[in-house]
Amino acid sequence: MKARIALAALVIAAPAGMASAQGPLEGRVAVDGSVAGRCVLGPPSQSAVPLGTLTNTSGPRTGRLATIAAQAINFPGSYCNFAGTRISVSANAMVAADATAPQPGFARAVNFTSTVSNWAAANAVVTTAASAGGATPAAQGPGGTHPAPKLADLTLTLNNFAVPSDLLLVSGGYAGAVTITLGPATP
Amino acid sequence: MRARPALILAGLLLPAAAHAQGTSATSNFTVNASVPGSCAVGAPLLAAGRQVNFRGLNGTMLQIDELVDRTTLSTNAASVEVRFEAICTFPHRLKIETQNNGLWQTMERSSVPPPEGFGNAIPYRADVTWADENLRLNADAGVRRTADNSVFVSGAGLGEILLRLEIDAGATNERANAPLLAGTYGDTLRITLEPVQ
Amino acid sequence: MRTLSTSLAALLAIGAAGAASAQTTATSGPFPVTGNVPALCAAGTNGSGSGSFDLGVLVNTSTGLLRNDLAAPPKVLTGAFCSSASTITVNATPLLSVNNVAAAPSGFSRTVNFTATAAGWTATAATFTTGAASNPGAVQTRGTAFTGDITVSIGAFSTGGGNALRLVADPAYLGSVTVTLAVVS
Repeated sequence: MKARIALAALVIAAPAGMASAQGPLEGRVAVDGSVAGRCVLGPPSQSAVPLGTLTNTSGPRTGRLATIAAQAINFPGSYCNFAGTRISVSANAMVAADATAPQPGFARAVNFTSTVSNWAAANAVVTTAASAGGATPAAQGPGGTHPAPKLADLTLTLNNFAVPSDLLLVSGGYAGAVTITLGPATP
Repeated sequence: MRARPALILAGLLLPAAAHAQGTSATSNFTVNASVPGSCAVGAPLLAAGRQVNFRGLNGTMLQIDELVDRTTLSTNAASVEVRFEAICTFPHRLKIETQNNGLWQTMERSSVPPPEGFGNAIPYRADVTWADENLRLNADAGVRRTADNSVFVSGAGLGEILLRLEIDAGATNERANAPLLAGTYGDTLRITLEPVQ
Repeated sequence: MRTLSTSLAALLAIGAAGAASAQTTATSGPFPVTGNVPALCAAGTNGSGSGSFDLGVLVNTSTGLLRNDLAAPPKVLTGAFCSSASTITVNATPLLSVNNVAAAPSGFSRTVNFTATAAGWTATAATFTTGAASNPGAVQTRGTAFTGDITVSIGAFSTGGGNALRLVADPAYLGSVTVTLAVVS
């Protein structure tokens, strides 16, 4: 951490006409510096969340979303050195690469919930709400505000994977994304 | 800690019934049916131009024209061929049965044997042809009784049963060319197609 | 001892001291969340229960010839689906006398042909006629993922070798129909 220290200009004014005293000259110098407010997110424990095969390939739920375990990304040593900060999450539902409108009975989107915990009393929680056709995939929202500087290990958890109306999923690759932001509560 | 989902079962061909899945999925059905067996024999028809000394077919009665020679009172030769339209849709037995085992007096029955030198029955041969099978019944007029002969037909059959009757000249149950007692002589032949159990 | 006039002792501060300075926001991501759905088909369930088309007696018992009113209720496969473009193929084998395996004698037949149809999956139903020289309509293609009911039916019965032939007797005449869904690769 670097502190910027601004040096005050030293002004010594000697009033004109005033008889110099014979004593020592004394001036005041004030040193003033400041530390900027800063937030930093620790290095993520993984750079992507690949889920593999999303659907059941046998049994009564063949072709429908399989049970997907919760996924987690850790950000150790995250901090803000000022008060009044919060986490924001922005997420995009997983949507099929094939943009064709799906047939009746099919969906091309998988929604999920993103939660960042361990920062404020109220977690940042965002649930995507894409339609079966893949419309409105984006969702974002903030968590609670923390009233003091903080240093903590943060965890982003993805869970609650669900397909609108639990429809069958069209085949192909699916992609979504999650971004987290740590910063002042009032920009 | 992230959990690994199950591996894809790609290209798996599963046979039969419901819940088959994979890159291809098949449903199987059977189609079941039956054909009951049946046999039928039509009415007899005279084979044209094949009769000797037969007056013809009257209903189901074959009438011999001149049974005996007027001089010797012994049997005249006679032959006739009769056709029956027939069908059997399954393996069956062809049977020919004689009621009298020869032409015997129909009215004058007696347990007393005929006087020396006289005959009172006429033997004949019955040949049946059906579905590549040949069957011969020798009605030898030895004893008045029923007699039969049969053959197994291993498949279905469709066509005509051909019956040929032959009476040799002079044939009697006494000796060749013996004179025959007066009366009306006759026999009944039955031809059947019956299922084989 | 004199000190400088405090009024002239001015302090000039340069730089941000106490006043609000720009606070940084940290962003991490976007983290790609990816997966895939394999192309596959499921055959569905036969809602009719029985997996057999039961035709009963094939012949008119008076004539011994094939009946002209043979019929069996169709079967419906419910819940069939393919998660990608697919083909539907129908195949069939004729009704044959199980116990009479040799060629039928003259005037008889041991074969009943028919046409099997699988409808509801494609715009044109898939059909297969047993005994036909070719069956180009037996494979139909669907360009999109699809889920729906498939109706399987049989009809257009005829005696193999000609309708004037009689059928050999057998309590067991047996044929088959298969319907296959496959992804288009």
